[in-house]
Amino acid sequence: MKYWFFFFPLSTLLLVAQTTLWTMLLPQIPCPNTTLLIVLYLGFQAPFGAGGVCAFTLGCLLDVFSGVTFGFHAIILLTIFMLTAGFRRQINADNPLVLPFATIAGTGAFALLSIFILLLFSDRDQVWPQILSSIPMQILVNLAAALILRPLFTKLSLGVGLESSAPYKREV
Amino acid sequence: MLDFLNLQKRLFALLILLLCALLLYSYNLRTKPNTNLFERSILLLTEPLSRGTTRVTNDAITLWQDYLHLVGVKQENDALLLKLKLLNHLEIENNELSAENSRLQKLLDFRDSVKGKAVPAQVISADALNWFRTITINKGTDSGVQENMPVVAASGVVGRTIKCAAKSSRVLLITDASSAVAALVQRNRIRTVARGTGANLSCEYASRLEKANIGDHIITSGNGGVFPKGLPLGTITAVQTPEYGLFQTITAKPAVDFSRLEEVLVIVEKEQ
Repeated sequence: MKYWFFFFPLSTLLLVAQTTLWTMLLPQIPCPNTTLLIVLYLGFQAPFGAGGVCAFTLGCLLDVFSGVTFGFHAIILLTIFMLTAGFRRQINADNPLVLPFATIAGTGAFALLSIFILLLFSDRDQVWPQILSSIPMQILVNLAAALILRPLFTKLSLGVGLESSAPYKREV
Repeated sequence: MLDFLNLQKRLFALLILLLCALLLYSYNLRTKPNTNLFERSILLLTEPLSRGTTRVTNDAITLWQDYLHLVGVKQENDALLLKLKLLNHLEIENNELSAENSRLQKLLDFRDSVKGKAVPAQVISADALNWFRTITINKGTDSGVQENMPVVAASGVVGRTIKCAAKSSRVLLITDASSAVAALVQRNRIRTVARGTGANLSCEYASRLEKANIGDHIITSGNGGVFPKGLPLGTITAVQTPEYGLFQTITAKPAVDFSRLEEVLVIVEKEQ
């Protein structure tokens, strides 16, 4: 619950900022997917259950600010959380290459899952060229945002007393 | 078996949550557009924040444009710059007022030409991601706005409302891939369906018996049940007629410049 009470308001603030500030100040540059970055962070740091509930509700929150059908982003972000949390035992999250790799893989997974779900469930058959063409730029923007936000997430989480549940840290 | 279930109970719980998410999405996909309590609450809570942020950002941009870039000149000639700054400020303010007046006048004229009751609204935010084309406006159910109402600007159709809270609503733009509007080529009345492709419109199912030309205007046909007849949708920029097949492929540029959209009208009551 602690994770939810911390990351839900934080994500709301970031979403308001990216829908208002970003579109006004940097209209030519695609905005970063901050909710995805939070879910990736949770995938590495949060316990399986609490992180899963958090990812699901953050997906619902993103549905309020983006897209057409409620529940769409909830599926995607929950799946990404499960994949990240599933892989974290095999990864040393202290390695500096993990963050760029997770962001690239996460952005790609987000795009491919979006295309898959849209093609499978709805009739948005024209959306996939648009999504595929925007992936490289989206990866760059998300990478830049991840580099800026990750220390902030860590600092703020430690500040409010959230402990990492990453296995390698618990063992130490 | 029980041991295995106990061991994997968190994974099962998440899989059940994933199933719930799928059911939720599937349910919302098959029902007509509605705004649930969660969406209403979040939109209601964040609307003042979005409006405030937009206002503060606008003020900051104006301040930056009005004053800060003149700091260097100020060092060269303080007295002159003071006058210049005041004049600049007044001029920018006048220009801004004049532009706003012109936009609102156009909107007012357009409002008079719209058959039915229309509510003016301001755009307060854009979509959180780059793959969808939606905007948020500062009018909601308190002003009579409901889901599936047409939203227009002085230059043409903007989209339709998809989520409505008390003081704000989300609008699906006609350029979104999930938007489809029943349309006509104005010159020769070819019927078509204008679908969004992100930046442009792709007009599908246009019969190839009569040729559409580049520069022809696309208007709403009024058949879809959402938009009144005769509203401008866009202008044809490309026409492809394949060697075989029943239809020609038409690409159109939207009549509205969505990057500069500030004020819109929501048609809350269509004339019968």
